[in-house]
Amino acid sequence: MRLAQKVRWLWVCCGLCAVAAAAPLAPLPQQLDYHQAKAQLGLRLFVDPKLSADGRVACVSCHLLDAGGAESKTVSTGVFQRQGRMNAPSVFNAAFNFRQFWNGRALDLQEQALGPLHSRLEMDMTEDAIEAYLNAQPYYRQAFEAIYGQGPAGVDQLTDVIAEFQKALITPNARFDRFLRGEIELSAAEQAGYLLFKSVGCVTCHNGINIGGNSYQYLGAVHPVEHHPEHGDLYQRTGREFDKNRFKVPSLRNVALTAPYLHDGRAATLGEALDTMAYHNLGFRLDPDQQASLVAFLNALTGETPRILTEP
Amino acid sequence: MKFAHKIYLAIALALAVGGLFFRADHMTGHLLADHASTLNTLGEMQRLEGALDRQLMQAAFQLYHEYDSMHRLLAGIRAHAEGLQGSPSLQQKAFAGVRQLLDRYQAQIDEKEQRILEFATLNSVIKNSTTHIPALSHRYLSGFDTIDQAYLAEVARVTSVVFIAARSFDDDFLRELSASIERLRGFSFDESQARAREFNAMFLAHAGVFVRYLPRYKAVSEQIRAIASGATLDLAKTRFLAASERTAARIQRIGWGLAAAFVFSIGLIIFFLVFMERQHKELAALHRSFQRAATQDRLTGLYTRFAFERAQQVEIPQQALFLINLDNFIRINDFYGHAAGDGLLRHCAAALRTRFGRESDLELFRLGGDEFGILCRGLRGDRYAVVKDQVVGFAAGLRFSFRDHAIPVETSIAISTEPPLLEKAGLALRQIEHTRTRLVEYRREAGMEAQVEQNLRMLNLLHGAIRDDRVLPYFQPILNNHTGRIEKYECLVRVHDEDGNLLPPGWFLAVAKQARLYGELTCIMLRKCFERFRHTHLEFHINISVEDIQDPKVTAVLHQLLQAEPQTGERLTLEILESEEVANYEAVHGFICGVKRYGCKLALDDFGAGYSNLAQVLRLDVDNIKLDASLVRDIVQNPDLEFLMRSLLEMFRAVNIQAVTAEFVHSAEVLEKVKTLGVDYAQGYYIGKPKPDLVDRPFQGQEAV
Repeated sequence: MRLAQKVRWLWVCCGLCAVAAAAPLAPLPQQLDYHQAKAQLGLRLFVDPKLSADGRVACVSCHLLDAGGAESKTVSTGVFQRQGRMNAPSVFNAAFNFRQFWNGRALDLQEQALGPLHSRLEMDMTEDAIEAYLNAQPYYRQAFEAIYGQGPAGVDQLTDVIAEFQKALITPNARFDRFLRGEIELSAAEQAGYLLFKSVGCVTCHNGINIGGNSYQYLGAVHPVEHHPEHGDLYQRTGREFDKNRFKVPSLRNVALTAPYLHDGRAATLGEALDTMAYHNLGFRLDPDQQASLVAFLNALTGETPRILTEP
Repeated sequence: MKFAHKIYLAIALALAVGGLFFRADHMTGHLLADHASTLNTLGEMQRLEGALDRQLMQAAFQLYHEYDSMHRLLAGIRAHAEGLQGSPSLQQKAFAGVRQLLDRYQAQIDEKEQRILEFATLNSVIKNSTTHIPALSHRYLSGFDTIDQAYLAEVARVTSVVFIAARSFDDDFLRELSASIERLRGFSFDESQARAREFNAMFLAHAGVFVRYLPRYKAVSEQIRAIASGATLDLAKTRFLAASERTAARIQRIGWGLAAAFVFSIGLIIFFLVFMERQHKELAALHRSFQRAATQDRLTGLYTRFAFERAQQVEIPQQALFLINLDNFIRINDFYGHAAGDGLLRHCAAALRTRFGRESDLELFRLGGDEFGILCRGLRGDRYAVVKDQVVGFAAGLRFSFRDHAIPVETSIAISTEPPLLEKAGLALRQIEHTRTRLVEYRREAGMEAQVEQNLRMLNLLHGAIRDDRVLPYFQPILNNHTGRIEKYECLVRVHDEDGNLLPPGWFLAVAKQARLYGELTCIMLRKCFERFRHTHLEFHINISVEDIQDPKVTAVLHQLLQAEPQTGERLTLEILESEEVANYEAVHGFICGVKRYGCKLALDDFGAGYSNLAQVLRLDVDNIKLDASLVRDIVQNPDLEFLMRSLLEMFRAVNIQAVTAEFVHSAEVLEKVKTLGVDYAQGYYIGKPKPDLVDRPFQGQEAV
């Protein structure tokens, strides 16, 4: 058929235009497109502790917006002082992660937002309780109706606006990003750290735009670590032996701000974290110079405060 | 089929064909657009998957590589697949197979993603260890001073095997590797060899990574290759093309249907057109023949009166109509037969054509049974006079012979120049009948139209008079010359107008005759006279026409009266006009016999005024003869009349006529003369004028008025 030939020719052309190989690391964009009203409402809800069972825990309780989108506690504290088991990951740049949570059980931000809301250890809200609360507040009710039209607001709308808010939580213009864009030179220490980052193999897992957050990897690939069944690794989801101690690689952006480190917060400092990763995952011991260089490099990954938080 | 039904059928067909056309067009458009976009999407998916595979190869090959692109490509493939699944065109039943394949494809892509995620994990681990194994040797080189060569050889072997295994994806080398690892583990290090011990632990950990993960790494790579998502996509494409072709074939069938319906519609239209054209031709031919029949006289070939009137619908000034009437046509027809009559007409027409046919301003018509017309258009200068002379000359010179008999043709000519030409000429012609001249030109002042007006007025009056009982009998006395007494009365019909004025009998009788009111008048007269004479001993005359005799209404009234009042009937004398033609002699004779049975008498009126057919008179068996004014009026001065009268009386006596009455006795001398001659009765103004009442008295001479 002549038409079929034409179409085939067309997609062959497209194929010829296939994108060339990308660099292992990429700078963040200045901004992602997001819905202004939704993001603003999402911000309001993000900081609202009434969305928890005891009325004291908001999203922001564990994802501090002035501390790299995470918290300084080893593991999070939920409603009624319930202790969590995982260290809170940063909400900044989370939109660039290929999955959400340490074990990647949420496909996107919207799905992720439900997790803490329903989790017994975190906010512990039922869907009914959430909807009852949202619709009882005239401000929320009006704001949701302004966005979605008539009708009561539901959990879907709630997670939608929170996800939209998180799209606005990106931290561009880190020194390293500016270096990648050719705007500045790195310092000698940073440069040395960057080279080490690549040569010792950090970059095999921490790559892409988020410098991580795009694959599952083992903690203890070379020197295995003890497996804790209560930790949220992939094994918790799949039960496969293969998935024990297999986690989503966290992003290293703003890593200097988000101590403590690792899924259970076991590393209190960057140095500790680097030592752990070097020994268990890369099978060597960092010497102090190397560690200092890497810390310098990791510090260059700290970006600007998201604009939505600084705007009046 | 009715015309309306044909129209409906045509409209329905047009709608059906139009609808079919738009449906086919719509379907074709959709098919093409869907076809293109679906193939495009499938191609794009293939391209993305190719790119994904290249990413995997790159990730496997390069020591480090970003994994973002894989996720982006997977998301792209998923979005396209879902878009196709949701596209309206693939929801059709024909594409169910394609949808199934897309389902399978999506499942395969899900599977592939899982494997890719495993691959990414193992890939990172393997590659890191691949780089670290030689790097460790470098890092710990300073600690190798006191290490024996066997250990170093083992480390070198492991380094080599690991490189081969990692690059070849071949786990056959793992046994060798495992053996080497065991050997390395068997080496012991003393206190001074702390760095070497550390190296050994690190090195073994990395070598262990290969033993632990390489088989899985290889398996996952093979699993990814084994996922036949590309083949599924190819198959989906093939199925889609096949289904599209089936759909195209269906549309083509609709197209054929459309073409067939179109051809059929055109055929139908052509059929209707041909049919209508034929009908139209027939109608046109019929129309022409009707027109010819209506406008052209079949016998003479001249234009008809219809054609004349049609031509006159537009008023054209300066025209003249010359009307030539064949006066004796009816008599020729009767005498020589219709063949002669027709021959005469044809002859006249031919003669007219010969004489006037070539004149461009003249047109020839046959306007009535025996009337020809010459219409002259455009009367300039002396044209009227010239044509008039020509027409008069033509009429005078008209000769006709039938079977060698020369038949005289009598003509009269009426001319009119005033519209309406024919009506005016007709009026003029009637004038000719009255005046017995041969040529009359219509003139307004000749009162021809007034006559028509008068007739209509009279008719109205007459109708009014009948309705309002203003028809009255007047009685004129008849003197018995032998007894000198007024013994009889002639009852004359008179009509009063609304003001009681008497209408001249000559006027209304003619009108009554024309309007067929004569019988009605006679009936009224019969009833009123019976009424009037019922209680007298007087005899009375009532005029009855031949037409009355043939009018069943009149005879019925008469018979009814005679039957009801025989005594009155015995005194009745019915006067029949001698001058009237007795066409149906038998009927008249029968009537006479009938009334005579009742004792009625019969008189023959106005004897000597017209064509007297004595034999007929005698056969009618009349009792009484009334001598016409023409015989009586001048009898005193004219000895011939006296002689004629004497002879007639002698003859009447011989044939047993009982009584003879002289009319128009207008003086004593005339009365004396008719008395002397032996006329039995006398009637006239000298005896008495008609009066509305009766007198029964001896005659004393002329009454005083």
